[in-house]
Amino acid sequence: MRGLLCCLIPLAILLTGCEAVPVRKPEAALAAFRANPPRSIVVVPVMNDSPDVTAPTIFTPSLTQPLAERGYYVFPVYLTEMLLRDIGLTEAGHIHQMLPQRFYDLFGADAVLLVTIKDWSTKYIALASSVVVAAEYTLKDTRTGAVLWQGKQQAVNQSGGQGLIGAAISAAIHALVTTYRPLAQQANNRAFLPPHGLPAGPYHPEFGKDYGEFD
Amino acid sequence: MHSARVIIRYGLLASITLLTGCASNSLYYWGDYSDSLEYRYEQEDIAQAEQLLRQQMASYQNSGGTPATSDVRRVPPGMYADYGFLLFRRGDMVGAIAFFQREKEAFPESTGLMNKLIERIRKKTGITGPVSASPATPAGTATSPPPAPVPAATSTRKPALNKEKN
Repeated sequence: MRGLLCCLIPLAILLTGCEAVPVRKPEAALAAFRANPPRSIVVVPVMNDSPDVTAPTIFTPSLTQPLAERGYYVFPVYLTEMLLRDIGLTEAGHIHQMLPQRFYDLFGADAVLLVTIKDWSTKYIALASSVVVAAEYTLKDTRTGAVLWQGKQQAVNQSGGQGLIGAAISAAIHALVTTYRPLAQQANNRAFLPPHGLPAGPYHPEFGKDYGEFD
Repeated sequence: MHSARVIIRYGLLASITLLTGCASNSLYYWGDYSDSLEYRYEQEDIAQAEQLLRQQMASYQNSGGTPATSDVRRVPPGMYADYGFLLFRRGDMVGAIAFFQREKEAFPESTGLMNKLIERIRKKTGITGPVSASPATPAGTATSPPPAPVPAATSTRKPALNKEKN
């Protein structure tokens, strides 16, 4: 009996730690989503508001996995880009202006994910530096054009204060792709998770059950 | 003293079991997929990306991975189609059709797009009828990985479905 109890107590503690505790909140923000939950999502080329032209190429590869792990069918992002290019659509800015219905015609997708990189920079303050990646995510219904969901993410990596030489070295290192990539991954990994992300899609065991976790 | 030890032992066991349960609830086996995307997007190294995708496909086949079974490496959405597109670029039209069909079977959400792509290839090449005889059929057995021709077609970086075959 005692053995069983010993077993149950840590179990209970861990279960609480593991499971997200549902917090009931007004679900107005997801009303359109609930009315018409999408099964499939096409991710179109990412728009870039930052001056760094390489930002989308580092940002895009980490977008698919966290979205698919939420239980949605995600169209292969590279093939999508190539097919859009094929019909002359090379500019992300132009693609984002298109009627969402066009993505139903082209791909048969239920929803289109439009992502804009809002910040992609290294800032130097005194001897410290901070690298910032920020993005906005909008999911639109491809039949009604309605906004189904919107999200925002920012990931920051701060360092510095090791003296003049140390700061100079770390500033040089920060110019590298390897600093931005994990921040992009971090932003994308968080973007679709509760409580601000997307409810579980049809391939997720929580499908249709987790609306209470979102606000 | 004894009971304290028991508590620690059971507690640890339970923790380990549960932590493992928490960590491994991913829906799919992704392997090097994000690396293959990084090669394409960041470095524009298509050949290397193709190499990784090919290995990934072989690893699913070797694990007996079909989307229907849950205890093996599950193929994520889009990966069959991505690989089919790679075969298309290489000029393996039969293989491309086979993989577009597998994508459709694994994920019916892709049916519209896959049918369009298959139709375009069929029109251009005149391939008709079923193509399930391709080496990449979902046999589930540990057959050899899909054919790996020499990277000849990799120089054409921006493949256009319309332009490849005229």
